[in-house]
Amino acid sequence: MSNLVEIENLRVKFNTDSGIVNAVNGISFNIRKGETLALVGESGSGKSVTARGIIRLLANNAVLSKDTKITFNGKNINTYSEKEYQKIRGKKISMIFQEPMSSLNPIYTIENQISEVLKIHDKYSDIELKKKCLELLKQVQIPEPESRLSQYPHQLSGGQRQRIMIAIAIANNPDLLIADEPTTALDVTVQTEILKLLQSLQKKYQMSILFITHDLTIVRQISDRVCVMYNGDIKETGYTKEIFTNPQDDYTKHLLSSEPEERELFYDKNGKNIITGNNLNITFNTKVKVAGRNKTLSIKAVNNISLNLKEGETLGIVGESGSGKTTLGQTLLRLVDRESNTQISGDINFFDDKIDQLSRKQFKPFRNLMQIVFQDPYASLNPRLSVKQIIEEGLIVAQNIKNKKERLDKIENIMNEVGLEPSSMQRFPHEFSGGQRQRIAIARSFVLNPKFVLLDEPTSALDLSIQKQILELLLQLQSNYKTTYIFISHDLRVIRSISHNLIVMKNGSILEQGEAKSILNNPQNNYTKNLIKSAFEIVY
Amino acid sequence: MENSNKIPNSYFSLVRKRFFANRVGILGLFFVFFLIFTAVFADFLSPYNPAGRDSDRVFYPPQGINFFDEDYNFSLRPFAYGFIEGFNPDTFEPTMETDYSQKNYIYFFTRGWEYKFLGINLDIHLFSTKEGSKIFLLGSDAYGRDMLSRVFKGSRVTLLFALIVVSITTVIGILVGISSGYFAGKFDIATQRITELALAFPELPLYLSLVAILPRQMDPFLVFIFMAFILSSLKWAQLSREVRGKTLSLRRLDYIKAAEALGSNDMRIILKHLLPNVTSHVIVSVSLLIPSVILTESFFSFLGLGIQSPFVSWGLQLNSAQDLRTIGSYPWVLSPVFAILISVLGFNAFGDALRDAIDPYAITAKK
Repeated sequence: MSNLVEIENLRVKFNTDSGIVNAVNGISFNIRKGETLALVGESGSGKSVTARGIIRLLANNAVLSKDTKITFNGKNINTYSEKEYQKIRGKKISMIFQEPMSSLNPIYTIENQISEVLKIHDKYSDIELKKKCLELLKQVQIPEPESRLSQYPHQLSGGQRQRIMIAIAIANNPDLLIADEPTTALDVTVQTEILKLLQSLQKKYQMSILFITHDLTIVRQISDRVCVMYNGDIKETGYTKEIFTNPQDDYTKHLLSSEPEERELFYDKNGKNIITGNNLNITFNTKVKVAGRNKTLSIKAVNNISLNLKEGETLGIVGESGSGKTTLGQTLLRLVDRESNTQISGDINFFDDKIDQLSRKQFKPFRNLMQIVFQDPYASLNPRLSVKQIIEEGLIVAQNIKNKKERLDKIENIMNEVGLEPSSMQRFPHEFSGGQRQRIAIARSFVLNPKFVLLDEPTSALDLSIQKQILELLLQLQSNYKTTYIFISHDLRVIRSISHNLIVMKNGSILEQGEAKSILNNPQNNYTKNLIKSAFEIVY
Repeated sequence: MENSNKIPNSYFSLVRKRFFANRVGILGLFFVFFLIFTAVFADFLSPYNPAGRDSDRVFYPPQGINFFDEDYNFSLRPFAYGFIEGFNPDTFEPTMETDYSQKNYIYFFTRGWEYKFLGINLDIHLFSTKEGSKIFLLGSDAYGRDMLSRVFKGSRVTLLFALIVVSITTVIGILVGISSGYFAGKFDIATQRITELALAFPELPLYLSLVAILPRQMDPFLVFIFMAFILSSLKWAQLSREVRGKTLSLRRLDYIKAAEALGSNDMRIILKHLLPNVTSHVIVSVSLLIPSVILTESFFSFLGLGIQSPFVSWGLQLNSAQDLRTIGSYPWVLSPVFAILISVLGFNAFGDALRDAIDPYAITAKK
C-alpha cells in the first residue's frame, strides 16, 4: 500500500500568556491509502493539534515550525498559500468534529449546509445539487432523507447531526477524512452505528481515515494501525492487533493496563439497609406556549423505580443521556432543582428514617451522612476558595466543629487518605490537574464520614490512567469505611469494575435490575444486549 | 497543550499580564491614577484659594510660563508676564495686553493660603507666587478666581460624588441581582419587572423633576447627598441585570450544588460561593459606571440644578460658560471640559481593558 500522506517533523508551538508551550514536538508518520489510522492519546497529548496542523486550521496563537514537511498525494503541501489550502479543504481532505451541536449552523437548512461545500469546489445546477444532497443523505443512512432536506439542525438528534456532518465531509469524495473524536459526545449505541457507517463509507470510497480518539475500545473496533501519542511525541506506531497484544513502549503498556478490569467484589448481603426507595416517580412540569395557549408539558424523568442499598454495597446505574439516572440519584439526596416544577412521589428511607417529606431544615442533619461527587472536577470546585476552605466547608456547616485545630487535623487526615499533599491545602483548584481536583472533591465528601455517597460519573471527565487511580481510591475508601455507593455511569467497563449490583435505565424506567455480573454476562433485554455489544465487542 | 508539571499562573497574575499588554488600558489607568492624585492633593496642588475672589484680575487669559524674557535673558526661576487691562474704543470690549515689565516669578513648595489635610492645618503648596503677584495657568473666571485651582478642587467633588453614587448602586445592584438570580422563580419574576421598570424609565425627566423638588434654600451639603440618591435611584438596574445573569449561570454549576449537599444555607452560598465569583464582573461594571455618573453630574451642575456653591464641581464651573458672549470672549472658561474628557476617557479605557483582561474566554491576540 502506498502512502497518501507523509508527515515529517511536525512541530507546533503555542504563544500563551504564560510563555511558549510546545504542543507537538516534531513527529513523523504516514497515512496509507484506504487505511484507518487511529491517533490515540490522553488529553493534552497533542493529537487534535496534529490533525489541525495537517489541514492548517490551527488557532491564531499557534506556530507551525518551518521545517515541517507534509506530503499529500506526492505533492508537498506545507508551502501552499492559504488560498491553495482552501481548495484542498473540504475537497481532498475533510474533517468531522466532536461536537455535532455546534459544528452545524443553526440558521441554515440541511440542504443549504450540504450544498454549500459542493458549490464552493464545483459548479452544479440547482437540480443537480438537490439530487446530490439527497443521495448523500441516503448514503449516511438518515431515515426519511427527502423530508430532512428542508429541516434545521435543531430538529435532528445528536447522532443524526453527526451523520449530516459526515455527509458534508464525504460530499466531494475526499481522499482523507479526519475524524476528531466524532463519537465522544454521543451515546454508546449511537456511537457504534456511526462507526459502522464510517467503515462502510470508507470501503465504498476507498478513502483514508485519520481517527483521533482517547477511547481504546473504538481504536480496537475501527483502526488498522495506531499511533500512540503522549506529551507531543509519538510513542509507538504499529498495527492495532500487534500493539494491543504486544505493546513495546512503556507508556503504551501503562495505557493498556489502565483499562478498567473486571473485579471480584463482595459485600454483606444481610447487612443493614442504608437507603431504600419505593415506587419513586419524578415528573418535571414545564409550562410551554403552544399556538398561543399555555400548556403544561410533563416529562416523566423517573418512572416507578424501587431500589434498596445495603451497607458497603455499590449500585451501578447505567443509561444513556436523558435516561433519568442523575435525577434519580439526586432525588435520593434531595438535591433536585428547586426552581423547576417537580413532582416527586414515593417513599425514601435512610436507615430507619423516612426522609422524603422533610423540609430543608429538617433534612440538614442527614447532609453529612449523604454526600455527592460530581462528574466535572472543574465545575464542582469553587475557583475562589482554597483547597482547605473547600474541604472545611462541610465541617463547619454540617458538623458544626468550632475548634480550628480539630478541623485542621481532619482536613490533613483526609488529604493524606485521598492521596493529596496536605502542604498544598492553601492552594487554589486551578493549580491542580483534573485527577487531583477529583481527589479534592472526594476529600470534601469523605471528610464528613458519610454512609452513602452518590458518585455521578466521577471518572468520565478523566483520562484513562487517572480514571483507574480514582476508581481504586473509591474502592479503598469503601473497604475502609463500608460506605454505600450509587455509581452513575454510561461506561459499562467502569461499572463492571466497581459495582455489585446494576440498574439499566432507559427513558426513566428500569429495563434490568440485578447482580452486575449476571446482567453483563447474560443480558435479557435487547437494549442491554446492544449496550454490552457496543462496549465490549471487538470487530477486527 | 498544558504541561501538567507546570503550575499555571494565578488568576490575578494572568489578569495583570493581559491588562498591561493593552496600551490604551495603561493610558486609562494612568489618567485614573492622575485624577485620584489630584483629587486627594487638590489643596496642595492649587496655588490659590479656589474660593478666593480677586476683583482686580477678572477674566485673565491663561498665562504661559517663560524662562527667557523678551531680551533673551535666561532666568532659572520660571515666570509669567502680567497684563495691562485696556479698552477697545471701537467695540467697547476690554482688552488684555501683555505687560513685559511685570514678571510674576513662580516659587515651589512655598507657603500660601491655609487648608486642612487629614485634620492638620497646612499652608504648603506645590507652587505659588509672591504676595501681590498672581499667575493663572488656566486663566481666571468672572470673579478673578484661579481656574486651575478650581479644576483641582472640582475633581475632588466630582469624583467623590461619582464614588458615592457608584457605591450605592453597586450595593443595591448586587443585592437585587444575586438574590433575584439565586432564588429564581416567582421572586425573580417580580424583581425583574421592577428592574425593567427602572431600566425603561426615562432617566432625565425623572432626575430633573426630582431635583426640581429639592428646596432652593437647602444646605449645599444636603443637596449634594440628595443628588447622589436621586442618581442612584435608576442606575442600579443595569448592574443588577448583569449580576443576575451571572448568578443564573453560576448557580447551575456543580459547586453550588455541592455546597447545598454539605448543608450550607442560602446566606452562606450567596456570601461564600456566589459573591466572590461575581466580583470581577462588578469591578468592571463599576469602572464603566463612573464616567456615566460624572457626565450626568456635570450636566446637572451645568444647568445649575446639581452641586451648589460653595462646592466646586466641573459642571458647576461650566455653569458660568452658559452664554455665547462669555465663551466667545473668554474661551478658557471651558477648561473644565478637558478635565471631564480626561476622566471619562480614562475610566472608559481602564474599564474596557479590565473587561478584556478578566474575560477567560478572550482569544489571545496574534503577536
